[in-house]
Amino acid sequence: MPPPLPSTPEPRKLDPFAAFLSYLVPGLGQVIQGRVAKGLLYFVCLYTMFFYGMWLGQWKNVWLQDCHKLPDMKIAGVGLPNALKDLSYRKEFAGQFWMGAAVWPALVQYFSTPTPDERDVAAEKKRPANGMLGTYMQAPTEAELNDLQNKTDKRWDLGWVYTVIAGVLNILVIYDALAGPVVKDEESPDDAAKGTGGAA
Amino acid sequence: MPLFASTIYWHLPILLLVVSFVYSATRHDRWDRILKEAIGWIVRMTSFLGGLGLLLYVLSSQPKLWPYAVGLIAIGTVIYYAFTSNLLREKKVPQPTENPPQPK
Repeated sequence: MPPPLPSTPEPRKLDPFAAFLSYLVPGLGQVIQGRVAKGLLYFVCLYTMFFYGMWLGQWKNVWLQDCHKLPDMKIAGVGLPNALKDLSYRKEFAGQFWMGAAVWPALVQYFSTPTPDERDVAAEKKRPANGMLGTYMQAPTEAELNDLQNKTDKRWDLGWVYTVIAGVLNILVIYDALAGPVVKDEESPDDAAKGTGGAA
Repeated sequence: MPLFASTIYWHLPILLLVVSFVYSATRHDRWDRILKEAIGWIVRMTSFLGGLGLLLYVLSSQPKLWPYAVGLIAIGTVIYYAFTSNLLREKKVPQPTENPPQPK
C-alpha cells in the first residue's frame, strides 16, 4: 500500500476589513474578529509606546514637513511629486504613518497650515494655532528644532525612534488581522519555519 | 561617568516589553506560546544589550582589563544562547498517524 500523500494546508482566509480596522486603531481588527484580549494587548502596547515616544520628544516629533523650497528629489532621473518629496525629507513619517488615525492630525496640519513662506516666521513668537488641533503635530520651526536638540538631552531623538517603531510594529498587527498569526495553533513553529503552514 | 547616570537608558524597558509582546502575539494565538516567546525575546535582548553595554563600560573605564572583559562576554554569550535556545525550543509530542503500519 503506497504511503499517504502529505495533506496540503488550506489557504488562509484573508480579512481586509479587519486589517483596515487594525490600521485605524491598533488591535481593533482583532477585537472585531473575536480575539478581544489580543486586540487589547496590541492597543495598549502600541499606543503606550507611541505616546510615550511623543512625550519623550516633547510632543514635537510627529509631523510632515512642507519642504517645497528644498532641492527636488529625483529617483532614476525622475523628479518626485511634492508630497513624496516632502516625505523623502521626513522619512520618519513613513514609519509613523502606520499608527493610523493617531497620526492623521499631522496630515491635517500638513494640508491646512500656512507654510513658513506664507507667514512671517521670524516675527511670530508662537506657531499659528490650527483650529481645534492647535499646534499639535504641526511642523516645528527650525528655531524650535535647534532648541530641542541643543538644550535637551537625547530624549527627543529617542522619542521619534519610539514612534517609528510603534508604527512599524503596527504593520505586523495589520498583517495579523489580515491573515492570522504566523504559526497556527495546531502546528509547531518548526513547521512554520519550513513553510508548510505559514502565512497565506 | 557612572554607568546608570545617563537617564536615556531608563526608557529602554518599555521598548523591550512592547517589541517582545507585540512580535510574539503576531506569531501565535495561544497565550502560553505568546508568553513563552515574549519572555525568550526579553531575555535575549536584555542580555545582548546589557552585555554590550557592560563591555563598553569596562573598556572605557578600565582599558587594561579588556582581555578579561572580552573573555567574560564570550562565556556569557555561550551561556545565554544555550539558555534561550532551550527556552524557545518546542517540546515535540509524537502525533498518532492516520495510517498505522499494518502487520504483515
